[in-house]
Amino acid sequence: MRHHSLKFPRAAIGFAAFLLVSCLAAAEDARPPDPTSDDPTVRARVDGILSMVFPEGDIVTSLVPEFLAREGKAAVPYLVSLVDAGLAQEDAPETSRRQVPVTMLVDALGRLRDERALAVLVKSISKGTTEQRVAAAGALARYRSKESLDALIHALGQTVAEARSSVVQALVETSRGLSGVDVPRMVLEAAKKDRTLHTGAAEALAQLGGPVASAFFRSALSDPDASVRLNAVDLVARVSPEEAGGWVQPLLGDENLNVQKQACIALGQLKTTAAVPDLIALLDPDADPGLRANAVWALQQITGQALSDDPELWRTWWEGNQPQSQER
Amino acid sequence: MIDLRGTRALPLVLLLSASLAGRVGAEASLDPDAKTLEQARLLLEKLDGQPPVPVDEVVPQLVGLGQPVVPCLAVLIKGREVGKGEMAALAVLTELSRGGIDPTGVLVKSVANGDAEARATGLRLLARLGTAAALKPLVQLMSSMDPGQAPMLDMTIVAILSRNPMISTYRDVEGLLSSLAPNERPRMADCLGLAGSPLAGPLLAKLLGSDRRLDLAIATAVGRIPPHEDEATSNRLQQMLLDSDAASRCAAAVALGRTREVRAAERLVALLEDQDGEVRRAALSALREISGLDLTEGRPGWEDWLASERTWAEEQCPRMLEDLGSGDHVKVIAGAREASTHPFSRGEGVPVLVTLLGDPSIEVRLAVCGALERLGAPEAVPPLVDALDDEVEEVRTAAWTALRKITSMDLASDPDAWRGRWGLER
Repeated sequence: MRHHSLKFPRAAIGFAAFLLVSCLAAAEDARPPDPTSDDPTVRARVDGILSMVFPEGDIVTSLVPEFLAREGKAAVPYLVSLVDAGLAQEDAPETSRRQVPVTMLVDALGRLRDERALAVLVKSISKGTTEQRVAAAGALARYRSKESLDALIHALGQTVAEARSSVVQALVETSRGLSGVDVPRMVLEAAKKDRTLHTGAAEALAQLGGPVASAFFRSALSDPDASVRLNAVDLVARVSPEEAGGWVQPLLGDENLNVQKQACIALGQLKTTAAVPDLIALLDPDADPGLRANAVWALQQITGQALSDDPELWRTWWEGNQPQSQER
Repeated sequence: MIDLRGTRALPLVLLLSASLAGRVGAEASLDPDAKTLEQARLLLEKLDGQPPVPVDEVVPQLVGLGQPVVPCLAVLIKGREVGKGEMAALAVLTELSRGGIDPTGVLVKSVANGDAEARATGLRLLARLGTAAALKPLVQLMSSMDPGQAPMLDMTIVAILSRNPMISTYRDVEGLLSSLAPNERPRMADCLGLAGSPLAGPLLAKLLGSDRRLDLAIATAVGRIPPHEDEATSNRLQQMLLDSDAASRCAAAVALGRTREVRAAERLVALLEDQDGEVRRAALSALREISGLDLTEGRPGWEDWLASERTWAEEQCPRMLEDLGSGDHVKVIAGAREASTHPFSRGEGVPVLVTLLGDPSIEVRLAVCGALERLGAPEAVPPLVDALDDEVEEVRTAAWTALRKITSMDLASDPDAWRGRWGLER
């Protein structure tokens, strides 16, 4: 009896497990087929649309992203898999590549704004050709979500200027469409954590503007990395035109020649009168000829005088006109 | 030798051959001629040779093979890299059509009766040939086309509509629309919107109000085509701003922004607080179009704008209309400039402004062109097209600039080109 009582539960457990598995399997079968996974009609439609792509481009080809997007959310997994395949082709030998119009697929995914496509769009930004990266940034710009914003901030590390500029543009558009999110602060924090984002962050903050951007550029002007200082000199005038002259002026004495040259240009554009004595000091005959040329250009811009690069001429002029220039 | 039997391209070959047999007499064979096939194959290989020979050089030689090359076209298309093969086939078909053999019928038959590959090839070639004659039979295939290839059919229809933006094409479309099953009409409305012709506006307007799904498709299409002034369409679109379906509200907002419908401004301002983000964005974009202002999405700013426009319309608009009708050039020009900065002047101001396009003063005519451009009034398109015939070049240029801005169409300054695209009489 006892023996039986021990055996019965084991059999019952086994039977129950069988029942459970059967029920789960039945439930799986009973569930309507997932239209987003592998619907052959969706695949056929997408393949048909893609077959209308003409390599030279024409009216029909220009319709492809729109028609792909019309397939709706059900097409997203297949479109994502096609982009993945297309990106993988970039690593394949040229002879074995299949033509996958990644740019058009990415464009369509942007129109669909489905969260499931975010990962492949981020991948396109980091792995695609320049054209694909630009398209992926444009696609992410359409999302206008917190997630796409994060993706774009982390894509600011683009080394190709054209792609970086598209990411910046997408970031700015996204920030306009998101209320209650301090985008400049997020960009600043990301750039602090990851130095590779610095150039892109500077470009983004130059467009976003505001006090966070001003603080970023002021700090960047004294960064130990000369390339960061150079970039900041180039962009600071857009963010803080009133104060930028005073911030840039000390960089006329920078240890890096390129930073000095760029500072001359910035001060000339800003017409910073207070920088005239320092600019005249750069006209030393022993100074780098390029630096002297930039300093003369800046002096001419600030003063409106067409004098040569003779420092004595400038000193004489400055002594006689100093009060007038300062008034201006 | 290439054996076509058993290939999926065979139906197209047979259809092409059959068509030719009917046209050129009993000597035309249904089977590809072995010698011609071999010659064609050798020519095609040049496309991928080292160095590759351009398609432009190969095509005349293929055409030079004469009528027997036609049955080889499917081989051309199927066996080559898609782009080059189709380009070659397309060029050969075009040349043959110049010689009196219209390939449209053959290709349409392949779409209607062929297998999947023949249908796909036929659609690709028809989309590129873009002959208007294919429109009717293709639209009639909408309901019977395999769902997997339906988008290809729609793309082909859009391509044909885009390549034939003439009044005659759209007269045919009007007949086709009424013959379509109700569930196919939204698809056709989509196609008309994507083709982007202003001639679609009146056709779509006639269909509005009969069915919600169709209305959504029409609103979307109206948002894509150049703005078309129609009271009934505008009223229906304004009603749709109150629809319970977010997609309908969104499409209506886009369409009303496109037509710069100032009467919708109040409802659009209310939609700035819609629960759907897409609707809010569409409403904001429409308000920016209508007002010419770049205010942010906050409702109070737009309500202030609305209030100030209403005050202006009530207190200043009558005086502005008096100025426009005063005959004093200084006042007229000042009135035109004032009108241009007030979208609420459009209802009463535009009819007066367009009459001033015939004013003897060049300065007045220029100021009016500028005002109509800024107001973006589609009802001003016909008189502005007439102003492209103005005796003064500056006025012609100003009218042309205004037309391009209002319609977003990049046509040349030739008035007949504009008349043709808008279906206007001289």
